[in-house]
Amino acid sequence: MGFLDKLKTIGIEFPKLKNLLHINITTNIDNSTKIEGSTILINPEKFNRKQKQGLKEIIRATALEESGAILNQNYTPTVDEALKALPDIQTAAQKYINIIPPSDIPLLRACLFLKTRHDNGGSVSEIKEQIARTYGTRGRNLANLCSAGYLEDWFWPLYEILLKTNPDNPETAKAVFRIIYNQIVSELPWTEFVSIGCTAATVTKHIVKKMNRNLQNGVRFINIHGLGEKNVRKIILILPDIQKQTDSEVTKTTRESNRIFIRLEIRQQLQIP
Amino acid sequence: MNIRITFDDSALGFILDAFGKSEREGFVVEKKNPDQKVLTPRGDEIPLKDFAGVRQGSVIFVKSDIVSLIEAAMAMEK
Repeated sequence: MGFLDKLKTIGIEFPKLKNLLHINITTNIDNSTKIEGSTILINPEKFNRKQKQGLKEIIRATALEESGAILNQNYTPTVDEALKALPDIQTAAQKYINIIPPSDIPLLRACLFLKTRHDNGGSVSEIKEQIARTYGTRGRNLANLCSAGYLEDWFWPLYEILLKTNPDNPETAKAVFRIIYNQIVSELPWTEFVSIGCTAATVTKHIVKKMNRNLQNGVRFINIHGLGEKNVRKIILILPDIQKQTDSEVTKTTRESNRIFIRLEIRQQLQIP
Repeated sequence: MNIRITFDDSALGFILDAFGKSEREGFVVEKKNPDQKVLTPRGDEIPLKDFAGVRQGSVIFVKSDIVSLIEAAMAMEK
């Protein structure tokens, strides 16, 4: 028995309703019910005690099953946006479900949603903050990596290489991938996403420290990303100082209106025979 | 297509009550045991201002962050 049939059992009927798509529960209508197009508005405060109790039971037992979720309408625009993006999010996430830590799967979906919104020109700062509040630095890092395309351009090719080098042992490939993935998502060793909250001096210090640490591990480059006019200006301002401190050169620059990518590489030392 | 069921801020108390919950000191709590805060699957307490609704998967209380809202969208797709 569906939601409407259940409502009949407590004396609430809508004989003229042809196409029901939406039920909204609100106390902001004068009558107990009101039809607006394909939407029924229900005001439980106008029901008698027995009906009110019956409605609670119907919501608990039937409505949730029928709709999958009962949501505050303040959040339905975001949920609608997620529903629209979900097929692409699920397809992209599917590849990683068995190779990244299970606790990162909801995080990955949120990061892919963020990327979709960003690619569509929507605002991402609040969503990124929510991800960071829920998952900390690791969440912020994965969000930045996803938005900058590292998932497809770096992580997946890495996994494919590991599979090729361990053709008889995919579990080893997976284990090695997960170690590298965890290190990158936790520490961003060769990438810096310049944040609006950090001063130019802090970013400079951070990048120089990272580059010096990477050099000890034989990694001579760093990728610097900046999003937003202020961050772009900040990167351009600090670049000469970073180059001077690390003896590095710019090997790639991509600049769009409010976005910049710079790859810095530390110069090879001349070998004296 | 599933019927969409929503509520607005005026009916928040009614929805919580329907699922045996209430509010205490700004958080969603068990109605029968108000000392016990309701938690999300990730173990987060739910401030009343961040209560976004309820989704299937037995009965799961949804916070208003994007991770939770995507999970609610997935529940609506099933």
